[in-house]
Amino acid sequence: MNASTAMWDKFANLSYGYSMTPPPFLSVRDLRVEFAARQLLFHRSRPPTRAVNNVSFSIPTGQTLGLVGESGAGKSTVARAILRLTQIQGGQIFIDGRNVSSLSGAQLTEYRRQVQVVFQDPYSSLNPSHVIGEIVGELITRHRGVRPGAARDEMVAGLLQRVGLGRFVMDRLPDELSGGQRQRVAIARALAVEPRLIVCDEPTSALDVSIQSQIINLLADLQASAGLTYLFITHNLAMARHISHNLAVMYLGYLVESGPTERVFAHPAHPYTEMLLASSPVPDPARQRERAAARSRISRSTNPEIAIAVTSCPFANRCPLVMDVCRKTMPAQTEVSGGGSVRCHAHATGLTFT
Amino acid sequence: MTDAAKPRGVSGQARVWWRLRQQRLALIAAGYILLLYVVAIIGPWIAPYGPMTGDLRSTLQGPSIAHWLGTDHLGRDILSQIIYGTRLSMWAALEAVLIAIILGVPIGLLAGYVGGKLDRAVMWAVDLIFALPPIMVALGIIAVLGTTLDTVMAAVGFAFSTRFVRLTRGMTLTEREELYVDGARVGGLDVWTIVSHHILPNIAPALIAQAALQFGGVLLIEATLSFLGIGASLEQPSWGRLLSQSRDYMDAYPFLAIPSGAAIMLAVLAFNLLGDGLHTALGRDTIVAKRKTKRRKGDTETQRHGDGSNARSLIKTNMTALAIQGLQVRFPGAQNREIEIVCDVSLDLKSGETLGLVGESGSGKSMTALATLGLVPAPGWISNGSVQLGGRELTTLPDSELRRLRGKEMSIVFQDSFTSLNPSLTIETQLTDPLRAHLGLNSRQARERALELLALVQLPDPQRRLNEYPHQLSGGMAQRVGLARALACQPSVLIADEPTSALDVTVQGQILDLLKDAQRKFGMAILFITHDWGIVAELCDRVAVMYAGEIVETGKVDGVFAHPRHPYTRALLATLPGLDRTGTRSVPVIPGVVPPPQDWHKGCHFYPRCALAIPACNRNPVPLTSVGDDRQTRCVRAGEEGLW
Repeated sequence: MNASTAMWDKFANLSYGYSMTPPPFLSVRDLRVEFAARQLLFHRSRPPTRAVNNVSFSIPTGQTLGLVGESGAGKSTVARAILRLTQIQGGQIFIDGRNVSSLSGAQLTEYRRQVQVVFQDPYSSLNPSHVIGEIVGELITRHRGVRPGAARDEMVAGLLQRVGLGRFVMDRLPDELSGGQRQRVAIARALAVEPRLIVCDEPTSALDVSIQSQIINLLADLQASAGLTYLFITHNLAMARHISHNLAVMYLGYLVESGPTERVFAHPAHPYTEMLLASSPVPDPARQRERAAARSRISRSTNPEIAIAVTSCPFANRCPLVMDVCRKTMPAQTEVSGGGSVRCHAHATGLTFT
Repeated sequence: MTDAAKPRGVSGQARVWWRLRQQRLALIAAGYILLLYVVAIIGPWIAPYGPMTGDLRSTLQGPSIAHWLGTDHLGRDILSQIIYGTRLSMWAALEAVLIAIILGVPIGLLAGYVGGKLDRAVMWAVDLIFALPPIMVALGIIAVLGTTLDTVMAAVGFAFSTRFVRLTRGMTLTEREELYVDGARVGGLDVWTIVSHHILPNIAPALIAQAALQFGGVLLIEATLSFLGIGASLEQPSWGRLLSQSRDYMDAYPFLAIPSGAAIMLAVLAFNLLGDGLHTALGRDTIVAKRKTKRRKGDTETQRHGDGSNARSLIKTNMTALAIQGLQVRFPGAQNREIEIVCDVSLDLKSGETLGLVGESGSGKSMTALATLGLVPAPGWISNGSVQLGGRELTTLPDSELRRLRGKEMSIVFQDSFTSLNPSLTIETQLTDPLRAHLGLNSRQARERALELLALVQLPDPQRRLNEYPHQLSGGMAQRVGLARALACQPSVLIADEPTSALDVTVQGQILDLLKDAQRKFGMAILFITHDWGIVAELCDRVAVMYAGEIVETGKVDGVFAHPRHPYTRALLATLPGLDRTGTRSVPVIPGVVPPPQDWHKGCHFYPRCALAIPACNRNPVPLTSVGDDRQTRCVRAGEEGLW
């Protein structure tokens, strides 16, 4: 292990503040993803858009990191970078201490055995012209060399059973299944290669409320029985709280806060986290009316339309605690008591707005 | 159309067959093409004469018993020549189209999937060839390779392959964005497996339809080339050559042109019809349904009632803004059965009140909203019930009257304002149009009012926004404009159909605040449709819970949350992960899924999933019964002590 990796692991452990924490299975360091701006004829070339800026986090083996934030925060881009579906412009991704950000060929295939994905939309993530048996069995053939036939069918049936589906769905097309059943198939497909990390990109947002809890329970059971590590992306804070050991909050491409779930909910360190918490409605009329009143006070005190400098804190124009320094420099990542880190100038001052 | 109205449990193939069967012309065309190929194969055995055997004693004869279609200038039998010509034309067309597909599809797949330089190079070449008429390209190749029929058809195939490249590439580009392709990449599959095994089957239907159309085009080109004397040689009977010969005898014997001309025309027509038919049948989610124009009986009676109550409506608006009684919406189902997707829905909405309508997808909540506005999408219809707006019956009003009410007396905000705003009109036009139509304002007054409305919904910089188009707005801003438009004429009832579901939570909070402000100002009644119980808790005075087309429970919000009186409400509230609930790792679940409408039980619709079910639940339809303090529930066991 070289010096920089050692330092990194020290930081990763520090940031979670646990001495008991298992070693990280996934570590992401200073991840940067840019999208080239469309070059228009007769226009000066424009700088690329930074979709993800210097994002660092790690997930201990067998645990779940909830990655939360609103649309445009860059959550899915982080996921796609880890899945090697998008090019990265900077930083490293480590799996089990091994740098995987520049793998190709056979090594990349081997990596694909360890990292799988469950997407948000089970209506588009399953090939509409393949039957379920083929959708799940395909990866068994690809990675475990079992040719289509009775033996593979048995393995597929076993996987389907693990996700709570009968073997009768093997001859069905995705079209003939409900949303919840399709998401179960997507999970079975991910399990087919016996992965160690599953990236779950909003796996329940397209499902009905009564189905969401079924899928969440299934994911939790699988984690308990197979020791899976999850990167769980969601915009639903209640869901994140329920399933995550640690939380990471993203805003406009930056990771603004991270830490143990209980700490983030009980003592949010970043004003954006606070705003997110205040904005998430709770199903309790008396409490929610109170919370709504508090939320309105916050949102009325800011004006998101004021333009901000490229170098400033991205949250400066919406932040109720904004100071002069926020409009000039991006805050550095600082430690938070109780575990985790935050990027906020105001954090040092100890101010909060609730 | 909602999920509920889609045919379920029918396999894709069966659906395609069903759709194809609906198209008689395409089927006839397919039959004709099949016949042509049969004739092409067995031609030598059924033709009465050889193609080149002439009888100079009987030249240019009309149809007779011996020669059904007459003879040509060398006394050869026309029918036999047409039959042999079929063989040649069909083979030539097949050859050219196969070459076009074999060349074009793989190139298109790779160019579309790999993209980048390969794509640019391929498209540059294709555009170049595409700029020339295919017949020119073919002539160029023929000049180099010679004029046997096979080279000619290979040349035509090459020229036509550009069409397949373009089409395949375009569809591959779209398909590449689908998540299942990402899934295949994460699965570690190689490029060729992904394009051939994953993408190709999904674009194949459109390619097949295209191939059928191209057959027609190729046939015409073959005929043209043969007509020009290239392609089929003099000894080979071809439709084009027959037509060409007839030109010389146009004056003396015009009939000669008819058999070959008709053969060409019919074949091309058949291929085109089949192509169009396949295109419709194989298209994803095409809705082939005829609108049923059904209205319930007794229209005249309710009409009179509606008119008569106009006088009273002024007094009534202070109390009940919207009253829905026993509303039923039906759609035609398989085997001429009618499927009820909204069953016996009754709601009351008072002025200044917010009623939450909660339910999962397929519960019928959006359909209830659309039915209220008289906007049930075809082929559905309101089969029973009454909707009264300020005491005025709406279900029997003619469309023109309804249109006058919509946007003025009652309006709607949709989930996705981008799709509900017209992308080609400025914000100003979209806001001022209803003001001018309903309130008769002139353009200056309307503009001023539009600015007021945008200020009301707190859209920053309203002056500038008025001249912008919807695509220049963010999701939150578009929703503000949608709300401004809905509020333009100060309606007495506002229906909000999941207006914040597509928005971020912080923006959602702002939109909810706006709704509350607007209600305080105008005193309208709001019917708020959502699946988010947190929003119900914040915004609503009363709530109605829908499950599988029925309202299962209604009551005041605090009461329903504290003591739900229907097993579905109770189970649903228990499954919600709370922000303040410490992470026990297992959430209570409701087993199973919401069944599709054709599978709804005769008794309680929740019966198969209910934890409290007893045999009595499944016997008869369960009525909505009152259980005190403005609370109603649809449960057989509602009255049992100790259960609740």
